[in-house]
Amino acid sequence: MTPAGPRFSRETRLLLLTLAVSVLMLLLLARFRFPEEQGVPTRPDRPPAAPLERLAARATYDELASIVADLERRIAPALVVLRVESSGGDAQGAQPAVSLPSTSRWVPGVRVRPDAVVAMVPLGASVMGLAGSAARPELEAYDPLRALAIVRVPPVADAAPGIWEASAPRELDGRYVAVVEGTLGGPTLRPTFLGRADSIADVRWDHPLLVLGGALQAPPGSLVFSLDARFVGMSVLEEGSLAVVPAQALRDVVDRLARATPQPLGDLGVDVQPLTPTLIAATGTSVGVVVAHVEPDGPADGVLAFGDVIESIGGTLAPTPRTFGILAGRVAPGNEVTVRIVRGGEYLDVAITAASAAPPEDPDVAARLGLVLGARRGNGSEVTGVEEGSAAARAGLAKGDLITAFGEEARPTPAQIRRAYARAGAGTWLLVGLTRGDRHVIVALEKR
Amino acid sequence: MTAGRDGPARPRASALGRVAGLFRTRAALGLGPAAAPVALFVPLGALLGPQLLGLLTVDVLAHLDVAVSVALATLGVFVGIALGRLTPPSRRILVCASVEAGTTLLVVTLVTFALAILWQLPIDAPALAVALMLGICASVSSVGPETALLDPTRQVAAHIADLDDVAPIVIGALVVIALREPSAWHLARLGLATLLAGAAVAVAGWLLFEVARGTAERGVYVIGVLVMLGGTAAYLALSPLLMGLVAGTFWSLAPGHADTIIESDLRKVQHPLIVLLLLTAGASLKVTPVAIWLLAPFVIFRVSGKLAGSWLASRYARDLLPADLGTWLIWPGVVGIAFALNFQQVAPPVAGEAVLTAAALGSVAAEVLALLVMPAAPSR
Repeated sequence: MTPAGPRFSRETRLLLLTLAVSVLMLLLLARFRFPEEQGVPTRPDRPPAAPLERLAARATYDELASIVADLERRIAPALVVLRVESSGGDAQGAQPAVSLPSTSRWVPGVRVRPDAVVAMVPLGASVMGLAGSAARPELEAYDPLRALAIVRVPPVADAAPGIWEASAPRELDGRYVAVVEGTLGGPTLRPTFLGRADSIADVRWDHPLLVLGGALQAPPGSLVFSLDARFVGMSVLEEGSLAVVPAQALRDVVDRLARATPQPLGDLGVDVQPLTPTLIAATGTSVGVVVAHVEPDGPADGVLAFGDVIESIGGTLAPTPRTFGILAGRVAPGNEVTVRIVRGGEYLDVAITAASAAPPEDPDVAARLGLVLGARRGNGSEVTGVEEGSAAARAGLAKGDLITAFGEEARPTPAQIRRAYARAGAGTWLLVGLTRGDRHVIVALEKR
Repeated sequence: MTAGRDGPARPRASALGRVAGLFRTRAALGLGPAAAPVALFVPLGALLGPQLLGLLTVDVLAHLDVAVSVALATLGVFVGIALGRLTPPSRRILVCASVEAGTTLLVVTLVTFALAILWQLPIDAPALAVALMLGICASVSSVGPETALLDPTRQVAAHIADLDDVAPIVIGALVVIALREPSAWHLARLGLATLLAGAAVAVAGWLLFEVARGTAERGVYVIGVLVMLGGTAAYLALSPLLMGLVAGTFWSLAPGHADTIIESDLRKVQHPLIVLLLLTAGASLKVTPVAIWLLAPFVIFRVSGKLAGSWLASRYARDLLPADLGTWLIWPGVVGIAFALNFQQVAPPVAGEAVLTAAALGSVAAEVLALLVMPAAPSR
């Protein structure tokens, strides 16, 4: 008789034992809680990455270079680089003075018509030429407030009109854009990654400007394109930081410039400065700019006074002198504007009629040589004074210059200079040789 | 009569022989009985990876993504060929393998899901998806070392191990899709897309193999088709394993010799690809707290699931399966780590890294555990 075997097979017993151990382990494990401090921040809203995304995120520079090369080919017909001669004056400066030495810049322009581009040209600067072309560009219209110029250039058949279908700012987040800068050799494209794009308001423009997350490193006037060849906008300096004027805002300005006759900047005839903590304590207000000087016989004479705080112009806040200058410049000469001020702790609304920032030229003064000279025996004549608005001022002569040649006179005495100018007919140009400091320069002086 | 009970006595393997058997890579998938060298190459990958020596940098790993997809597709092709060659009598083995794998999958998934909720694990993917993927990784097996090559139980186990990958590959493909678009419509649409894409590449390959002149030209076609399988799956964010499975099955069933052609050619690249997978998995390990917490249920309940699944399967087919099958199937499969790599490619980072680390370290632990519990004498 065979002895009775175990009731359960060896495998079943092993399984039961394993299950029992497992249940015990489950009960034990269930007593624990994951410590919060070891937690990893969960990101349930983040979509899972595609398998090739990590590789694609490291898109090789070759690939990026290929994309940029293709973009360059597509937008090249719409781009022109202008040579701009600047006197070194501030773009927001009131006087387009031509002083020496002048500096050259290469500024990119984008076509608004087959025969015209819009570009940023500083106030007082001149458009002197085109990169890679002997043609001479012509200034067609100019907006001094925004330093935008429409410049007529040699026409092209295909100006890539599709580029003006501007990208929405949100589309730029986390993308590459191409920044176009002007060089002697023509436009150059540089890819720039944008982490984010935010919008800010600016009194000069009807559309909000784009602040591209601090990623934009380009001179003002550079052009920004998306990689699908749409014009994003033009870089401008905004409160010390670079921002981008959207393409639509540029288009609006260009359309206005094309329709309207150019107007000079308005002027309210006051000098202002920002409110400091002590001025805030003294004036009792913290918003606006304080009047430091009222020009006698100017538009604000008798209306504004030293120590007034200008809070707004035409209903728009003027928190900084720069904003004040822009708002004042936007008032057409001869138009009246309401200015809200704080005087002695009280709010007052006053009306001021703007004058022109550029005073009308006096023909008599313009025709004069306008130099006060001192003899430097054997060397020429030293300029000791220059009359504003005169021929010498227009030519850029300044006090301290040593005139070493004037027309055909070498090392002229003051009398020889005056005689040479008197002999010249109206509308003629005289070449003047100067020594300024340790530099020798030549300027052209026009007799009107 | 069961194969195991009346089979010849197994040769007793020495401990050294068992360990040496780990390092043999003759047929890591189980098409030929052998052990996957997980315990060797995963730690080696971890040593070379960015966490330790830094020879395999993060950049290198990123560039290996495509190669990993191709390797996954290759594994799928092997499973597909094994599936396509099933004869009608052996289809019951497929059912048994699916019962065994399904039980393990269910046990590990349910336990991991429950624990993840109880533990309040901070993971950036649905807890069910993480639990399901760990269950899938746990459900696949290989067989023990070659020291017991002639053991009849081992041969049955090898057959089961070949086929227990099929159901997890299908479910894993659905999890991969659901991670991106958790809706029934997308599941159906992208599931169908996976099948169609795999079939399309398979048809293209089949036409090419048949017209190839010479082995060199044929080899180029084989490599090209595999790259297309892996690349298509990676580009479309679908499962390369399922695409490979579909292609392999098609080549087995299609007229001609496509399956033998591709099998013989793939044997040349099989081992490098598996080593690549394991090294990549090792180098991608990140031993985070979440991964460590997931490791315990993976190891413990995988054993429970394997034993329970094998027990159930042997009850279903007493005439085919030995009763002690479960102890043979504790050996982890390379395919389990392949699932985890695929999951890491598509899942959010915390969940992907945790599942890969838990599955890879769990596989190493399972291999060591299998050495201890592997039957060394004839079962009675």
